[in-house]
Amino acid sequence: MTGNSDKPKNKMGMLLKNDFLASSRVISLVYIVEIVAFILFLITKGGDHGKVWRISVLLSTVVPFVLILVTLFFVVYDFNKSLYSQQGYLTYSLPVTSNQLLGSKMIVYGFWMSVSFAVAIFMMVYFAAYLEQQAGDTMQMADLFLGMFDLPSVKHIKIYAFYGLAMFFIFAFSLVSILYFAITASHVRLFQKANFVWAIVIFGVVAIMMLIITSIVDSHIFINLLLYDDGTSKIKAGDIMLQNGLSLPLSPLFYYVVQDVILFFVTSLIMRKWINIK
Amino acid sequence: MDSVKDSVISVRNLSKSYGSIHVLNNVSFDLERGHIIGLLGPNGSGKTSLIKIFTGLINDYKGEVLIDGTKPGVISKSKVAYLPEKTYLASYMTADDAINYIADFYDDFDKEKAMKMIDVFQLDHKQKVKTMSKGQQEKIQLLLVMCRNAQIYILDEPMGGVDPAARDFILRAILQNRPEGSTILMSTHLIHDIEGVLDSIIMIGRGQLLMQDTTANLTAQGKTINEIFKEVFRNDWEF
Repeated sequence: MTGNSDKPKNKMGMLLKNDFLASSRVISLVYIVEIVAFILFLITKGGDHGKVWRISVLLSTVVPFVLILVTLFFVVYDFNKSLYSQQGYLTYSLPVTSNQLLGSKMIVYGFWMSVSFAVAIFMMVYFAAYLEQQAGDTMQMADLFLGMFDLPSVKHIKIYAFYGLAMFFIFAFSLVSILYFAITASHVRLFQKANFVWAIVIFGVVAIMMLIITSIVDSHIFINLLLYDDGTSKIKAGDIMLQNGLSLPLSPLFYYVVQDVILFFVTSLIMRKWINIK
Repeated sequence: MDSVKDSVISVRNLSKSYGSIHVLNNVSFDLERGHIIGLLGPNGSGKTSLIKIFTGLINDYKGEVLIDGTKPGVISKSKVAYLPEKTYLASYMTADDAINYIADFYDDFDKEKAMKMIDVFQLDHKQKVKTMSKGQQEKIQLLLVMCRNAQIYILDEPMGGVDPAARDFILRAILQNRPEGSTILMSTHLIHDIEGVLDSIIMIGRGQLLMQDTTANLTAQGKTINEIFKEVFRNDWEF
């Protein structure tokens, strides 16, 4: 033991800390641009809509989509660099399991991906409502939300927003888990020579397979959460359109989560058994 | 081959191939605890593959490998301090970042010693890896390994590609910072530089274990390890 501390460290916590620090180096810069642009917009929106206002609107609406692209790029770049380049000599010799290595990256980059999607959607809805108001329409953000998602009443907005957030999280984690699987599989000996091409092929095949599996299973077992206008709710099988409430499909989300979990353990198994760091 | 009484690394019937190329073919041996062991062999003889198996970087092999009684995995990785021949630090890291990173994962890492050694090695705490020279990168990696109080040190070509003065520096750093009773397995083909410090050697080539003995036994008849190495591998270079 050293003079630092005799208490063994939580290795998963350390992986999360270091992955978060590494990822936030670049991603946080884009967030700062977005925050500054949005603050500028809020300050100038009551004024004469001059040059600063126009730039802030442009940045506030474009940067969220840049953010998605930057995050997506970093999901791929960091995973490939830290595990399958020379850095892999360090990463794979750490005293942690492959589940921990993969889990940490999934959590950190799944989080960034979800937040990036959520920021982009929020900005889209916010500026759509703002432009409607500018055009003389008295439409509020809530009204726009009702119209966009065909919701029966304002009281459903909160629950639909929560459902939407869960959907974004699951979609973000699915995207990250397919990317990680594709990158990892492309580094086994069979695909190593043209791993970049194979990673794209594997990504496409797995993504399509997940869609097909979900729709096949869904056609047999389709489960909804039914929210009635009188405040009651029910979980029911079958394709149901409610006149007096809202129907939220639960089963596709569940099937994606199950497939993500399977993909996670297969990726971890490949990392543990068949990867050879060059 | 007889089993060594206090073996720190035990290898039984180990085979590893890349497609049709067999780099290790049914190899068995034990490495004695507390020794400085030279892993010798020409380029492509399987030294790095063997080291990667010991450090858990290669897992698709046949046979049995035990590192201090356990298969290569989380437990063995916490006992082994590994210096690969490649630069493995992220380019954006500074020397201090690298020290903090290693300190996060290894309970036997002496951070205070590492911070002091940065100055001894004449490195800059805030300099990024990407702006360091190759020599500086090798120094920081050596520092990270030798500031661990590990039971086993596995060093892959620690003196490869550096000038004779740097080789001397590296060798001194390894010997001075090695905890008492620890084992060092060092692969190299610069035998002349290290043969004076080795307790035993292991030679591999053509997929086989070709020789394993103490340096005292091998040099008893007046030959140097370098000369013995040349005799063993002479045929590989004849035409």
